[in-house]
Amino acid sequence: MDYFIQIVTDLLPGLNGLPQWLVIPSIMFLFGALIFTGIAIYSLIILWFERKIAAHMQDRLGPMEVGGWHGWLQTVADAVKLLLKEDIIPAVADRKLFKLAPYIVFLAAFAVFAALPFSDKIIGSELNIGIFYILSVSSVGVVGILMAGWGSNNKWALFGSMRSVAQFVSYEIPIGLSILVVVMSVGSLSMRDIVMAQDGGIFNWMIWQNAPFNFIAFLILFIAGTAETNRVPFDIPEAESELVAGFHVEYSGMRFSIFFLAEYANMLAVGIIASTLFLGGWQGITGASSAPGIGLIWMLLKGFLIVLVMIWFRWTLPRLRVDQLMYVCWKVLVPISFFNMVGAGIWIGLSS
Amino acid sequence: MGIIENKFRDNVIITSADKFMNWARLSSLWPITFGIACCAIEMMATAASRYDQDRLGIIPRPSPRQADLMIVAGTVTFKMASRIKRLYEQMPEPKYVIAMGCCATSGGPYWQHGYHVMKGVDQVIPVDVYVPGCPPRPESLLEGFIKLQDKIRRESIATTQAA
Amino acid sequence: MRAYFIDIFSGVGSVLVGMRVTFSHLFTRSVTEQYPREKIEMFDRSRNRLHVDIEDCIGCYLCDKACPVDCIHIDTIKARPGEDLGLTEKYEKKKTFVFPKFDIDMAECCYCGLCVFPCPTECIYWISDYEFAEYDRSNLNYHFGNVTPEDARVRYEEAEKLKIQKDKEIAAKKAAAGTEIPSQPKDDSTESAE
Repeated sequence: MDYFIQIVTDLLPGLNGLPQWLVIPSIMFLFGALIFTGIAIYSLIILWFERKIAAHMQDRLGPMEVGGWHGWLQTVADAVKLLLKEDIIPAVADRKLFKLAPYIVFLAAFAVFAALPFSDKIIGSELNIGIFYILSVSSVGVVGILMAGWGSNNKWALFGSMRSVAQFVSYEIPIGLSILVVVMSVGSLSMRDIVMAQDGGIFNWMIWQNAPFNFIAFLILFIAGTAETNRVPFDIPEAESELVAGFHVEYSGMRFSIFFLAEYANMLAVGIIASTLFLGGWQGITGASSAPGIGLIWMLLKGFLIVLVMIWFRWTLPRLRVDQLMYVCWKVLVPISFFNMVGAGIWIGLSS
Repeated sequence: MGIIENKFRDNVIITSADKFMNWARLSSLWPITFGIACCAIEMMATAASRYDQDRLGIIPRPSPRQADLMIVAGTVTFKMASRIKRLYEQMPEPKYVIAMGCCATSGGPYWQHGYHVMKGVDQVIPVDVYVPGCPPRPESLLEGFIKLQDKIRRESIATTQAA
Repeated sequence: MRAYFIDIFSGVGSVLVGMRVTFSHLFTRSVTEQYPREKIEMFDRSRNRLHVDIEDCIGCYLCDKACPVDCIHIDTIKARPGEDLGLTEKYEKKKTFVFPKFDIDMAECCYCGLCVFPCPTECIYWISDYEFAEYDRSNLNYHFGNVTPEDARVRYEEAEKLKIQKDKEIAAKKAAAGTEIPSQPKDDSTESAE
């Protein structure tokens, strides 16, 4: 953030006349607004990618007509249309909960971006408990989903939100244990230190260190991250044929689009976290370079790659039933990640 | 949008806004696919790889609250008609209806002796486009979508549906 | 215990196999026919829409009777005496009727084709047009009749007058021959079948 403040005060020297207590918060607000814009634009792009990839995996073409070349304006049209829809709040719904729920889910997804390192110097807030903050803030989304389900006053919405809460909370455990493996080998919770420990090119990335424990930890993080964001094969909460769209069944128009935005922001957050912890963060193939812009591009590219693999998963796998979902978490992922952590601890202890 | 609808009468100042809003609405029609009977199979064929409806931006949504088009595909019985009306009322404005197949248009082959069949779904909900056929080819349904898009293109916020 | 590990490995393995399949399909050619731009050829004998060449129709009502859902409605008026309507184009049969109403309601039709077979002059047939969606349902009732309502009314009145005149003539003949023995009906059993 200091780097960002420096850039802005260099660009706009007129700001030096204003009192300090006004300048710094407004620059921070600007940073937040930039992140929000970035998330919105990224969602438009990734939605287009998702539809196109889904279509080509199914031997068809996907959006073609809207906006010329391969329908690139399709998601813009979707977003505008959702804005222009009538806003329906069911008469029997709990109005305050119903209205507040999408914003809380989005808040949880958005607050994570404050601590993610986009580059060597571009980071919202340089916390020395970075990864711990990220894990705890992302869990606030559960409250939003519960509010959506309960506030809709609809039994299907309630089922969907209960299942989603169970899933979310259960899959926090494998994520925590996998992150612990990385934290043990680095010795610090700070995101910056974790990326610095992977300095020196592609073969120094965390995923190859402490083999095979870190590799298994990466896989578990990826699978559990997919489950956290309610993506197939774990998308029982939004299941189409079983729960008529789950916890967001009663949402229309703009409120629904905020849920959508939150889901894609979550996906990007999981992607960036996974690439920061295991794939070298903002460093390139041959190690960190000095220009700050290059780091940002590498970071986004890696996060994008993980999101693309999530999309690939979605169009390959059928949906897991809710009891199978719980089985996978508690009986497969938790034991494996636990033994993985123990093994990694022994390995690290022996090798140091 | 209710605050500015029906306040103008063909003023020039709203033509570009109209065009933009109509473009957004027609480029992303999200149906709840009310596949009741045999026409549902042709509707699935339209969604499948050979006659892709996703090219026009049409993705099916499971919940009526998130949809803006209802494709009534198949024979509408009296028992089903009350449910169709309920789902239609749950959809948010602006909403459109396509009656697919002869049964939804006018009772179809059951028009004369079908004591259980509602002779056309337009007896309970207002229909925008009728696509005849028993069942209509996927291209016929796509042509129905295009005709609906033409109809949306001609709309204006000066005179809205609800008026 | 062994089954537990086998399950895990086979699960992961099947996921990877599936992902390889979808990845390979990402690069295969798509099979989509982009409808408004490229339309596929309709094959012969495809049942898309009915058409009637009313100038070839001889008013035999065979299609009306064959239709299982009664979606064809025909009204005929006999030609005036002395009016020559000509021959049909195919099979050159003599035309004796004009049609104030020949309606086929395509919103009631079940597209079975049972009306096409019995037609003696092949005047009702399938055309390969499948793009006939409408905004208004009454436009799907296709009218193939070939006389205007005013002309039809005139012809009906003439036919009425002709009928009244003929009835008078028959009544006069009967009155004139009223004292004679009424003629015996012909003996049908002696006629040879022709």
